[in-house]
Amino acid sequence: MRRTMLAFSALALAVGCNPLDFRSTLDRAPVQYIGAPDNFGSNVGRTLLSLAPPADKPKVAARLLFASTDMQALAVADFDGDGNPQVQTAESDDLSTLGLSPGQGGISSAAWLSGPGAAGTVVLGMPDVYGTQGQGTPNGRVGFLNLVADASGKVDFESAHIWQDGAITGGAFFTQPQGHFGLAVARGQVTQTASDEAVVVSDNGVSVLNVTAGLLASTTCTGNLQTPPDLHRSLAVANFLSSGNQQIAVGLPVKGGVGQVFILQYDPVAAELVCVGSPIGVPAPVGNPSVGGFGTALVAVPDMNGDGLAELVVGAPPNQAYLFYSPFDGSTPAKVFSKVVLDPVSGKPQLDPKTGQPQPDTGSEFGQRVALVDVDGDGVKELVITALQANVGNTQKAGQVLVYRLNGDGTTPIAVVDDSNPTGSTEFFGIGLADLEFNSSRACAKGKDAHLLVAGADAGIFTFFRFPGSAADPRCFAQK
Amino acid sequence: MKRLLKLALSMAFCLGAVAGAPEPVARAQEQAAGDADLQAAKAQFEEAQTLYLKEQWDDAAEKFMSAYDKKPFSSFLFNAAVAFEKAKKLDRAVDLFQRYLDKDPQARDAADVKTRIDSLKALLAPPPPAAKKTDKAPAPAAVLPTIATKGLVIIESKPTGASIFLDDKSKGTFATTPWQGSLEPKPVKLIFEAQGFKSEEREITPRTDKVVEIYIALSEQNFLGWIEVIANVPGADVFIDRQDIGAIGKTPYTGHLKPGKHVLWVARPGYQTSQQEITVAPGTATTHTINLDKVDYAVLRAGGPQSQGARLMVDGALACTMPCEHQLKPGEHHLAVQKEGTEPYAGNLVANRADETTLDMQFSPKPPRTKAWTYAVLSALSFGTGIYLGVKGLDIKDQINNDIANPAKLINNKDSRKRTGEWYYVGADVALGVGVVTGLLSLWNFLESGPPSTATVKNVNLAGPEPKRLSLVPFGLPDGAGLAAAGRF
Repeated sequence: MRRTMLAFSALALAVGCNPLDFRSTLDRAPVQYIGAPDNFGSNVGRTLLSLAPPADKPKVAARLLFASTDMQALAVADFDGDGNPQVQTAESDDLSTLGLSPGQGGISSAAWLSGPGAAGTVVLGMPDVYGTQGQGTPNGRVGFLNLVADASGKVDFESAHIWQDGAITGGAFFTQPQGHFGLAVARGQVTQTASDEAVVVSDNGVSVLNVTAGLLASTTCTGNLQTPPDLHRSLAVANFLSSGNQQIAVGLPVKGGVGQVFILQYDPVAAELVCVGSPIGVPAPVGNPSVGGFGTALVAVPDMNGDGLAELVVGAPPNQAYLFYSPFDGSTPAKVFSKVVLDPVSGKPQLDPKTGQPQPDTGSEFGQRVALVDVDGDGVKELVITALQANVGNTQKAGQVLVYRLNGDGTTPIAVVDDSNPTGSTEFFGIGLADLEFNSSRACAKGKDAHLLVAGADAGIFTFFRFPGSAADPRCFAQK
Repeated sequence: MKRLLKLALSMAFCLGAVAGAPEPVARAQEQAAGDADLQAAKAQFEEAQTLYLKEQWDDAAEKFMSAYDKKPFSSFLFNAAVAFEKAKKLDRAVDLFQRYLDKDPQARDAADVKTRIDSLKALLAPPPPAAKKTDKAPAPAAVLPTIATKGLVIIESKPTGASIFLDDKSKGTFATTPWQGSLEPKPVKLIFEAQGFKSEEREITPRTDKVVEIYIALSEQNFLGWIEVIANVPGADVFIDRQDIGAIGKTPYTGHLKPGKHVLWVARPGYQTSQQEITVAPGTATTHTINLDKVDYAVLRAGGPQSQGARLMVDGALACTMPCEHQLKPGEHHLAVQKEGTEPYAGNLVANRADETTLDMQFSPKPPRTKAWTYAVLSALSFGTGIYLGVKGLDIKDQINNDIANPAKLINNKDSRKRTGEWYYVGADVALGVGVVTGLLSLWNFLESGPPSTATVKNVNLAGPEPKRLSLVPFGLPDGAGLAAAGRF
C-alpha cells in the first residue's frame, strides 16, 4: 500500500498538469490574438497602424498601434523577438491632451510619420470630436502624437501637437469648418519631398498638414468630394501619376449612389490640391449593380506595368475589388477580384443556374478593406482583401480575408484566412488590415523583409505568423 | 435415642478411624440408619417402657410384642411376659416366658424364668377336688419374687466373632459378637478380643428403658508405620505413591503409612522435585529429611483475559501460544506478545533462577481501519479522476500542438480549447492533490497504532524468602514510547 501511494504521488508530480502549459503552447500558435485592453470596448481592430520597429531591433521586433473608434482608447502592441506582444495603453493624460472626451467617439484613422518623436509621430484622425463647435456635424480633429521609447525600450506616447479647428499647437485651433475632419489620414509627401506630411480627409475635402507648418494645402475640388458622411472614406498616397511629389487617391463611396475615386495633386503655383483627370468609377462592363461601395478601400500598389508609377487597388463592396494601372485611363481595371459562393462540401464555386457563371457572394461584403502584405516573404507583396461578412463554418458573417498574388495572372485567392476565433456573428474579421514588418524567430515568412498579416476585428486583433496555407516551416516552431 | 445412636456411632467411627479402617464404621452407620425395623423396634420398646412405668400393663405388653414383631429380640418376649404377669394375665405371661426360653435357651436367667413359669402355672392350676371335699384349708398360693423388665444391649464388632468379656477377663468369655441381650443396669466394662486384632474396651451403663447399641471395629495388631518428612524448604508438597491424586500434605509432614515400600515425592515450584523410595515397617516411626535444590531456570506464565491464541515470543522466537508456561534461562530476555487484531506488546524481562514470572496481558485493540480504507478509496477515486482529467487535458494539448504543426490550421493563442484544457489541468491538479492528501491520510491511518497493549508482570522468586513484584508497563509519548517499571523488592 505504501509503495502504491508513493507511486501515485510520484506520478502526480511527474505528470505535472500545469495549466500554464496551454499558454506556453499557444504562444507558439501561428496566430496571435490580442483581445480588447481595458476601456477599449468594441471596435478594437478597426484602426490599425504598423509603426516603425525599434531602431536597435529592426526586423526582430515590431510595433502595432491600434485604437478604438468609439472609445477614448489607444494602445501599442510591442512585439518582442518571440512574437508575443506586450500591450501598452495610452494613459489618460495622453488622451486628454488629444482632446478626446467621453461620448465624442474615438480614433478612426491613423498614420505614422517619421519624426519628430524619437519613435516617430502618429497622426490620429478623430472625426467625431466636436471641439469648440459643440453641436451639428462634428468638425473633427487630427492629433499629432509623438512616440518615445522608455528606458526599457517600450514605446510610450508623448503629446506634441494638437490640431484642432484650424490651429496647430499652442492652443491655436483649425477654424475652418471641415466636418468630420480626420475621416482618413495618410502619410505622404504631397507638397514637398523633404519630410513626411499628413494627408487628412474630411467631409468636404482633403488637407495636407505637417507638424511644423500646419496646413500646407487643401483641395479646390471640394464639391466633387462632397458625399454623405456615413460611409468610410479611403485614402492612398503614392506616385500614381508622376515621380516627385506624390498624388492622393481619395475613395468616396456613396450610399445609394455611385462611388468614385478622385486623384488629387498638389499645384505648387496655386499652393492647393487639385483634382486630376476624371474620377475613377465603376468600370463597365464589369460593373456591379451595387456600385455605391466603390472606393470604400484603397491601396497603392508598387509599379506593375513598368511605367514606374504606382497602381491602385479599389475595394468595391459588397463583392468586388479592382486593380487599376495608372494613369487610370478609362477606368478599365487590370484585374477584377470577386468572391464567389463556394460549395460547402466540394469547396468549388457554385454556379448561377441562370447564367452558368460562378455565383457572386454578395453577402460577404468582399472589398471592404484592401491592403498589401508580403505574407510569403518573397519580397513581393500580396493583395489582401477583406470579405467582412463572409460566413465561416457555421458562424454567420464572421469575416474572411482573401490573399491574392498581384503578379500572377489569375484572380483566384491563394489563401483564404478565416476568423480563427469565431465566437459569434458580425465579428468583422478583417475590418482592419495592417502590414507588420516583422521577421522574428516565430515568423514563418521567408525572406529578409518578412511581413505579417494583421487582421483586425471588432473584438480583437489577429496577427498571422504563418503564411496562410503555407507548408510547415520548421522555423516556425523551432525552440529558442 | 437418636442422639445416643449417633453417639454410639461416633464412638464407633472414632475407634474405626484409630484402627485405620473406617469402612466398618460406615457400614454400621448404614446398617443403623438403614435398619428401619430396628429403629421401629426401639421406638416400640421405649414406648412400652413408658407405659410400663405408668403401670399400663396390657398396653405395655402389647408394645413389647410390637417391638418383637419388628425385631425378634428375646428380651422383648421377656418384657412382654412381665407386663402380662403384672396385668394378671398369667397364662399369657407363661406363654411368653416359655417362648423366651425357647428363643434363648442359653439365657443367663433361663433357670429363674423356668421356675417362674412353674410358679405361674401353679397359680393357674385349679384346686384339687379332694381338697374341696376335705375340711382342710387350701394351700396358700405361692409368693412370686418381684420381677422387672430388662433393657436391651446390642453389641456388634468387626470382625464378628470377637469375644466379649465383662469387667475383666477373669470371668471368661461373656459372649461373642454379635450379641444382644440384657445387662444389669449398672456400669460395666466390655472387653473385646479377637485373634490378630488389638483388644478393645468399652464401659457402658445399660438401662432398662433403653436399647444400647455398641459397635466395635477392632484394629489389626501393628498395622501402620509413622513417618515424618522434613525438607529444607517449608511448605513443599508431599506426595506418596501417586502424584496425580494430589499432595497428602506439606513439609514438615507427619502421618501413618501402610507398611511396605512407598515412593515419596517432595516438590515445590522453583526447586527440583525430590523422589525417593521409602520402606515403612509396621509400628515404626521414621523421619525422612529431604534437601530440595533450586531449579536452574525461571518460569514465565503468560496469560490474562482475552489472551487465548496470542503468541508469546521470547527473544524473537515463538515460545508458546497463550495461555501458557515457558521456561526461561536466567538472564535478560526480550518479550513480545502478538495477537491478531490487537496492538503488540514488547518488553524486557530479567529472569533469575527459580523466578516465577506472571505476564498478565491487557490487550489493546488495533484501531479500526475503516477510515483508512475510506481515504484509500477516496484517494484512488481522486487519482483516477486526476489521471482521467490529466489525460483529457493532455489530449487537448496534443490536439493544439498538432494544429499548430498543421500548415492547414491557423489556430490562435486564444484558442477556445485553451480554457477547456486549463480547466482539465486544474481539475487534474486538484484531484491529484486530493489524491495525494487522502492517500497520505490513508497511509497514516493504516500505519496508525492504538494504545500499546500492556502487561502486568509479577515476578516471584520461589526460592527467595520474600516475593518480588515487578511491573513493566509500556507507555506512549508524543515522539516515542517507553517502558515504565515499578516493583517491590
